[in-house]
Amino acid sequence: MGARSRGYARIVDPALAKPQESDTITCGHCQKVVHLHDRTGKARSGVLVHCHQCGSQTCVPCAETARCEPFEKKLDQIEARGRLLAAIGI
Amino acid sequence: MGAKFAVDMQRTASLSLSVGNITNPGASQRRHRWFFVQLGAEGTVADNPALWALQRCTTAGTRTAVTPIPLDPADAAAVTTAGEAHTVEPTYTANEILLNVPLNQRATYQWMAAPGGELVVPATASAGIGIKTPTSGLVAVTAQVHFEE
Ligand SMILES: [Zn+2]
Ligand SMILES: [Zn+2]
Repeated sequence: MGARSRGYARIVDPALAKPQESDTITCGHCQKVVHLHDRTGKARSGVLVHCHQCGSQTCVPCAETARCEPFEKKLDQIEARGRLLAAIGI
Repeated sequence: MGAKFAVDMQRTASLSLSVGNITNPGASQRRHRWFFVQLGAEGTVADNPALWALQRCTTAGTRTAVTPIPLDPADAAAVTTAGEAHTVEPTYTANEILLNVPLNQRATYQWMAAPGGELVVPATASAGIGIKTPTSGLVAVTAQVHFEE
């Protein structure tokens, strides 16, 4: 989780000469897809923050909480709660 | 690596009703991961702004069922379920919008996750991700998603 390798997004618009392309990062805390380039292909600055606790790259809103909540941990918590609810029949 | 599936979701875009969603069944669910998303309109080419959003949900809502197609025909049917053209919205989780794409009606958007950067849905009953078009109406749209379970 919080992959360092990058995803890829593109917009193909017949009105434009070539596709608009961007690398992406999936936030290591909330999984929001962050586009690293703007529509002109220029790198967007300040859209990613490195979390020194879990080592993942996060979106700015997650960084602003100043808490490290790795998504993998949240997944485990959500699933544990789901198992509990199923066990008591909810 | 699990089995990979394709889901094609279509509707006449609605401001208030989802294009479709992919969700866990009520029991025996498993984690699934979205690794490819394609969004676009198949109506007449026109210059209209639109917004697409992918948001986490905790119920399937009322929808027309879509069967996920295995990318490898040798794979068994998916456990994860899908549907399109909602008439009753799923329960969306506030603030958990995973992808927001402002997209002109004439354009197509594609996203491919890096390995490890997929959008992961926890293995809990009816959890999933829905696709919405909160600003555009009346245009026929299609979303295609590939996921792994
Ligand atoms: Zn985040
Ligand atoms: Zn962290």
